[in-house]
Amino acid sequence: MKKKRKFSVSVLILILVLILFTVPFYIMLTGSLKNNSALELKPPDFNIFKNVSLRSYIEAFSTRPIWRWMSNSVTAAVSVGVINVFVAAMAGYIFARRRTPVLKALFAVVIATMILPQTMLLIPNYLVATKLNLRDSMIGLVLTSVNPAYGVFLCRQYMISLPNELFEAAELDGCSELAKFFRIAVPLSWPAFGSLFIFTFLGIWNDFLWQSIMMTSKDNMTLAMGIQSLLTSGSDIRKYSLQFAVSTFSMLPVFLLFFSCQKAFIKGITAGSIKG
Amino acid sequence: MNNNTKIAVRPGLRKRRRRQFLIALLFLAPWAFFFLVFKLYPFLYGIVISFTNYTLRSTEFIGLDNYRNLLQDPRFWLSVRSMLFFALICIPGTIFTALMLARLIYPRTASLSTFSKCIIYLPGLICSVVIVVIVKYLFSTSIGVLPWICEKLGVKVFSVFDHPALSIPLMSVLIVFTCIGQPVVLYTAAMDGIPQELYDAASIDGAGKRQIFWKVTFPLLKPTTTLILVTTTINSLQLFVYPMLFTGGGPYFSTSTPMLLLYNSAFNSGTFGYSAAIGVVLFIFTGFLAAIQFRMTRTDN
Repeated sequence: MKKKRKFSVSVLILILVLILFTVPFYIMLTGSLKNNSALELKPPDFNIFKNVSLRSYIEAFSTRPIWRWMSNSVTAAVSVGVINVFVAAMAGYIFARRRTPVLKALFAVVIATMILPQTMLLIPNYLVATKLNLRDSMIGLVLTSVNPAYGVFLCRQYMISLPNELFEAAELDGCSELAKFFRIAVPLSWPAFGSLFIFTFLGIWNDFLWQSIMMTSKDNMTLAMGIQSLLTSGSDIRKYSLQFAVSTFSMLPVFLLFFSCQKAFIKGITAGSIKG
Repeated sequence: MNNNTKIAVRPGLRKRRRRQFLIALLFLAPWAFFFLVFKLYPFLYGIVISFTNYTLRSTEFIGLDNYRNLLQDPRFWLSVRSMLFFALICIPGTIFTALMLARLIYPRTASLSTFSKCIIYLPGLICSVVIVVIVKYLFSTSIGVLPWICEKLGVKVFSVFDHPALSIPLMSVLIVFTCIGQPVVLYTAAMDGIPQELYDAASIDGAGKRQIFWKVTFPLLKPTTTLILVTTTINSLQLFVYPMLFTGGGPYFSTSTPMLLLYNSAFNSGTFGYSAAIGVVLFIFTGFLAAIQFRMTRTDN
């Protein structure tokens, strides 16, 4: 029903819902700006305007290798993102431009990979990574985290929508396939690449399971692993404010990315819903 | 586009065809590399070691023993049961909540609509470990919120995570909360595509708002619903992080999931063969479910 009334009950409910969805962020932020004792009160002090203290942040930056964790996470997320886009762009281009039976079958395989759960591959991938000596190294983490299936799907959908005439004109001008790819397809596909990069970045940024399996030494820990270590190491379990501080810090790049690239983001989400 | 029909053979056509084939190979090579090394080979390898008692020290072919043990393992059946509980709450919960939220959102102005979708998507951007931090704090038994509420109610403080009847719904709500972003976006997009005439026709026939929603809008959203159904089901089958970090699968495997069992039998017990068998069983089951649900879409289209 496209009624555009302004102050109906449903708008009120919507606003309440939106407030509800921002509660975790409020808790994280406020919790990080308080002394631990404020959080231990009954009821805890979550008033963001009183008793603000940066102590937890100071403690976080001085006693924990936060920057190391951050740089590991950033390196991994950006590398996997770039590789994903590269692989997906090339494969997606071919799937979009040619429709031989072989390629159709291969594309079905790509789709199957998307649906295939990570479950079955977790252990074998771990064993393969061990055999190839990829464990506990950034290169290993990056290589094993590359998951181009969704990207291939996305790029193919996007490139199919590019007008054929452009490519035909280029071919008449004597362009090689590579040139067509780099000069026509790639420059026009930036929205798709952007969405794909963001999605991949977020996936790696938040993926703690595979990272905790692959990385074992302290220097290689990523942010997600670092936060988990604060939850499990005996002396840190009670340091709620510290945990909140590190968590808030870990969300900063995500927020930056999200709010600066909203359009590409939403485009990527809804693009996945278009049935090819 | 590739022209597969045989016209009069021009000189160089064969060479051109072969060149096109090579170029296709070149473009597909990176994807093929990752697929073969990190998807296909591990897939087959997993199947192979599920028939052995692979530990890090020895390997011995033991046929279907892993599967037999698995089917008789009470831990496995307990984790399947927990998984079903999770699925029972998460899947309808996600679909219903997403529907209701989309219904609230799509009639609004474009900017409020986009803003709302962004806010609702936000929790999905939070790393699961961070969610665990927040929730563990909120439900801590020694300080803060929970003891305060218990004091007010005159109840003894208890740990939510010791009672599966409480922890499973709690974790399910968290899952829905963090995963609701995508379904809401999908639903609002689909709702935007429904032509106004249908609503007008229904109104003229005297249908009330609620009737219109369930009898007109909802059936038209079936493709989207099916898509969300499939993805939520597949995710439910792989549920792992929250049980592992909140309860460890306890107490006594009452909140365990098959995936958690898979993880533990590999990394805690070292029995990779058994773990691989769990993976294969989960894969077959997931594939089976996905196939059924895809069939459902096909016949409806």
